Amino acid sequence: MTLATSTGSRPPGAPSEVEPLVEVRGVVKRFPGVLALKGVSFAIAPGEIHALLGENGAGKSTIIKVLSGAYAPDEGEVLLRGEPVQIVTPSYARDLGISTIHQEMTLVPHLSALRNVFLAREPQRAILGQRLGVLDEDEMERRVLPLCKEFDFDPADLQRPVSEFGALKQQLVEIMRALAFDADLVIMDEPTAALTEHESEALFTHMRGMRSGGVSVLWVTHRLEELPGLADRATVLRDGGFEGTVSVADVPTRQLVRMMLGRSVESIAESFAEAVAGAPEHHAEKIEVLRAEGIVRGKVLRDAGLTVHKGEILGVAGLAGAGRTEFARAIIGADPIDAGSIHLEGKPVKIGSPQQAMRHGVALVPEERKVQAIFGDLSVARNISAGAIRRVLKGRVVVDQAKEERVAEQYVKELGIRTPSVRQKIGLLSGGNQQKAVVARCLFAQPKVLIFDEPTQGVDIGAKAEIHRLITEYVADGGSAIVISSETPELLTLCDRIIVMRQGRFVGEVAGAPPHAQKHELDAKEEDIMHLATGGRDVQ
Amino acid sequence: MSSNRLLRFFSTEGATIGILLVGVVVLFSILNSSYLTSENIENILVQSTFVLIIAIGMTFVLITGGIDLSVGSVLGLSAGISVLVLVDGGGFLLAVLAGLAVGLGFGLLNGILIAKAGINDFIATLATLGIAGGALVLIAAEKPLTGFESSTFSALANDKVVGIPLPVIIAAVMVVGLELVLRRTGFGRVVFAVGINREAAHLSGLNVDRTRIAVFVISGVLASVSGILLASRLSSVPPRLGQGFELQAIAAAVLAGTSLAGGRGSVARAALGALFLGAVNVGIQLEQIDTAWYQVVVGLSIVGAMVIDRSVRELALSRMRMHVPPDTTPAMPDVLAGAKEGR
Amino acid sequence: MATQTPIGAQARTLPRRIATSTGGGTLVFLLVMSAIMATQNSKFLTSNNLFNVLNQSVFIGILAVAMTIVLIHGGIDLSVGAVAGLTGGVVAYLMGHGVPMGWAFIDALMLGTALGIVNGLVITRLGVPDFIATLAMLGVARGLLFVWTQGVPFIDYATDTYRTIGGLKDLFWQITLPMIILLVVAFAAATMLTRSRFGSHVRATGSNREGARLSGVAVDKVKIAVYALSGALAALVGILLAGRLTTVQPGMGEGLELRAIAAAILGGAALTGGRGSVVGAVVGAITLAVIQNIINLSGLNPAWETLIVGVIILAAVLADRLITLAASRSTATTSTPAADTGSGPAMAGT
Repeated sequence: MTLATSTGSRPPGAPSEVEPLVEVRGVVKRFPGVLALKGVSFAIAPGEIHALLGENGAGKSTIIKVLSGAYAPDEGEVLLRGEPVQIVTPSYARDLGISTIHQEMTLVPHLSALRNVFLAREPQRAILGQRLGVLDEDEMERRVLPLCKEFDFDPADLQRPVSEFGALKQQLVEIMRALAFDADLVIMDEPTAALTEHESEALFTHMRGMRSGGVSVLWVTHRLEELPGLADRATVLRDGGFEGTVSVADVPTRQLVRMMLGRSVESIAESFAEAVAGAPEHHAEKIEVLRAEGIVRGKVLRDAGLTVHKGEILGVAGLAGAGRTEFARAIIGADPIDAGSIHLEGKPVKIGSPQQAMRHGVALVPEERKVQAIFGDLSVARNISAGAIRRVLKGRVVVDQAKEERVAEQYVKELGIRTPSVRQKIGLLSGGNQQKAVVARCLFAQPKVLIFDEPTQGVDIGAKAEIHRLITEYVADGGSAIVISSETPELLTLCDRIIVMRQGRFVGEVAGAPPHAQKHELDAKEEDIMHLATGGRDVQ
Repeated sequence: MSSNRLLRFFSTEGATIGILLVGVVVLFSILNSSYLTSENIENILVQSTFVLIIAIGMTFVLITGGIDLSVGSVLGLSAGISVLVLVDGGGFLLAVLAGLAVGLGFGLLNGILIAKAGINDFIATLATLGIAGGALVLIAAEKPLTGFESSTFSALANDKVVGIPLPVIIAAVMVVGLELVLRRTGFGRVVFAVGINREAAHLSGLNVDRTRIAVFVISGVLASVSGILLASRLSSVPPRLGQGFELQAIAAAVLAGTSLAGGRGSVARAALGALFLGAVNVGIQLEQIDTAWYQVVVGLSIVGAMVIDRSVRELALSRMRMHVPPDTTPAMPDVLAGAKEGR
Repeated sequence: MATQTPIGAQARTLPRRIATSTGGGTLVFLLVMSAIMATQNSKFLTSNNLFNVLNQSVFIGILAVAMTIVLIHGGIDLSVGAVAGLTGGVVAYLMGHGVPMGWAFIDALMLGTALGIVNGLVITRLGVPDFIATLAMLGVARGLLFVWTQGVPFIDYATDTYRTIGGLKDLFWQITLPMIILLVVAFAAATMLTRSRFGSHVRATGSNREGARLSGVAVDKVKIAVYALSGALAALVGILLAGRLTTVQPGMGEGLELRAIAAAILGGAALTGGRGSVVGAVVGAITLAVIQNIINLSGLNPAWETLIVGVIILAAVLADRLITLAASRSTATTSTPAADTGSGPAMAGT
């Protein structure tokens, strides 16, 4: 397979046909109950920055793990410069010249940067060293100094433990580790997730430097706005399958989104709107329900505040790392704050714990279901009742199991949770249904304000629309909702207004899109939001 | 029986420990005809109660994902304090209250250190183990903890009601009562929730700190109950009473299938675990084997039980996963990825 | 090739590092305590007494060094006391039955190492958490010693040479062989941790086990090696102890693990792994020995020592936690650092 772009359109001026550096052909990967990769093929050229795009669950992580030696493909093959290779272990992948910088830090916090760079491949002092395993620090420094020059890394910092470094510096150590052993391909999984804008820019400069040095970068990201001017080509995965490889310069962001989602932004917005239109009307009234002011927490929240009115759906947009989840956690008392005040229905309240928050009527549907919300071994009924156990107690002590199940069954019906019975272990349900159960739990606590943190993440389109309907119904019934989301179309169709967060504070507001809004209206609003979120950098 | 049914039987809670218990009884009764006499059975029951009661408390702590290494020493110190009161002329009631206060106090101390100060529970209870143990030795050095006159106190562990020894009745009541608390009350639900997913429990508005403190208090108080009963049984308190009991309590709980990572456990099963250990102990005594072998058995059974339990669960889980219908969208591909990594 | 002194490193000079570390705090505590005691009791500051204390501290010292290595690795070894007792019993028994001393020592060391390897295998192969596996080994080893001795101590095995080895006789200038052994062990351990590849790997697995594994560190092999080393050092202590006490009680070694952990924590080791100091652990062991000495000289019941050790562990851990919280507050980027979760260190086995 040559490196011209495949499937989708063939734009003119395709890159010249060079032998690919790394190629995957027809890779299939199965897990119990799940087909993670359905025959993925694409190729990475030498000396290019190649983006890997796709929604959650599209298969990006899985293909990375195949390339980095953590998984073996069930079918298909991986070729290095045209020759098939079996990447059996992570060490072997590195020996082949494929280095991976994972999203979760693999640096060792207590060791120095120098030690980290050479971890598991430490040079040892001659003769005596070989026997006793004494490290050759001089050799290590010698090898790493040219890299330090290239990446603007102060050699004095080599001896400091990496725990003392900020996120960007830690990334640099990871990169130096990859390059110290002559990597030809460096895989970077969401490298900018923990970086500020400024730091991301610095990282991009380094990535360009790597490219000019002949090293290829496979760059996994979901931040499309970062692609222009940096990535040469992009491969899009969807639902475990290969959608296409395109030249970034020739293809607008819109098309990338369409490839990732399988539908255009407008049609998605339309289907959301349809689902929402079926729900009862809701009116944002002028009555203030929740007002947060001046919330400060370390460096992550700096004077953040918002106001939510009765019957309103308030959207919160912003890039990853802006502080949205931290803000939600602060209002619900999950994390302590340094300063700030919260008023509920006009009265000041002290919220020192989620328990207090829920007593006052504020509840949170957390971002990460599995880690933060689901009691995997417990039944659906028990997961739901956990929101307000006292409401299913007889005599304030004993659990009325019949009542608990009745309540759960009611929510199952109302929210459309697909489960054989309320006694089913919740871990066996699909993501969308688990999410609905978590929403049910919060609703059971009868909150006045319900905060949703990425409510439709990892949930298929059908369930997404249903969850939107839930939110609208809840609000129509007299509640108020705050919806945090990274999907702007979702916010536009769902919310009455959208506030944008950037670096720990709220920087602006955009009105939600009216139903049946035109494409150009949606585009304009999305651009406004992006503009506020990124602080004005140009988005294609 | 097909392998699938066999597997499900073993995954049934309590099956493994039930079989072990029956097995050990059968074994020893074959070896010695006097094993199955009513007198000996009574002996087994009574001897088991002391570990049984602390195993119950340990179960609560284990379900929340914690551990309490101080129970043995707290047992000893509670015994010592209550006897001290009697020796000093105090009455039965005061003695019992004093003993219980020790358990309550240490339970609170443990709970606060762990839940509020954020100290690792293993280290915190290791430290209180040392403190309580040291305190008992000091007290015993001051005054011999024996020779008191209180028929009520002695009656506690030595009397019988309708032919059944009182400690056994007390233990049985506790088992039933606390198992019900675990299974049927709101508190029990919260205990499990905290153990299964502490962060989720926190964000759902459950009071995680208070629950964690509560289970350590339960553990401490039950340790003191056991200590008071033991003091009554022995009529004296040797300076190192209780040492090693924590190991037995952990063994009893682990044998019963309680997970050390939290989220699973049962008071009734822990009681079976304690009975198993008691049956082994008495069996060894009867066979006139060196009783030190009991310690070896305790150590080995901890490891053995964990291994068996783990393999059975893994086997059952992998069978179960294969029957989950494929989703339209993979719900948790990254979760499975994490599992494969051997995390 | 000489490298220029890194500029940043100057800020972390020795005095500063001592001042801000837990080990440093312990040293200060030790000095203050000794100073106070010196004024209270004239017998304390005699060279006789002080060397006695040092001689006493050797056993916990060696175990604390071992424990520090295990803690840095992110594990814990609760069996060291029981293994020391059991291996001491092996030496006593063999020598009492005519086996030459050298062979008896070798057998003991081999047993200790083997038990350590068993610990490591149970943890890595059977997936049992570190503290449970070593807790079980504690029970088994202690039980075995009881069974073997049948409740009666081993006696009459100690030769003159053995007594000297055990530290009952000075070598020169009031310095005994065990003290020298402690120094050698501490030096070797410190060098290993800071200068060798293995040491780097030990620290890596304790600091970020999964990351180390993905980077290619053989985490399982490292774990087995660490526990084998711990077992070997425990055997060394058993050998020395049997020589010093000249009898092996059925309960020998009991309580040593608690003190070893206390000393290691005083030296700055953390249960979460990655951190620890061999020098600090030795200072911690000396501190514990001084405390015991103070109790003896003051005529208090020796049981006070157990109690105080417990309090010290709590105080050290609390102090450490406060320091961690304060440090992270100033650099807070995301949520507060979680309290030590779960039951004990290295639940990684599950």
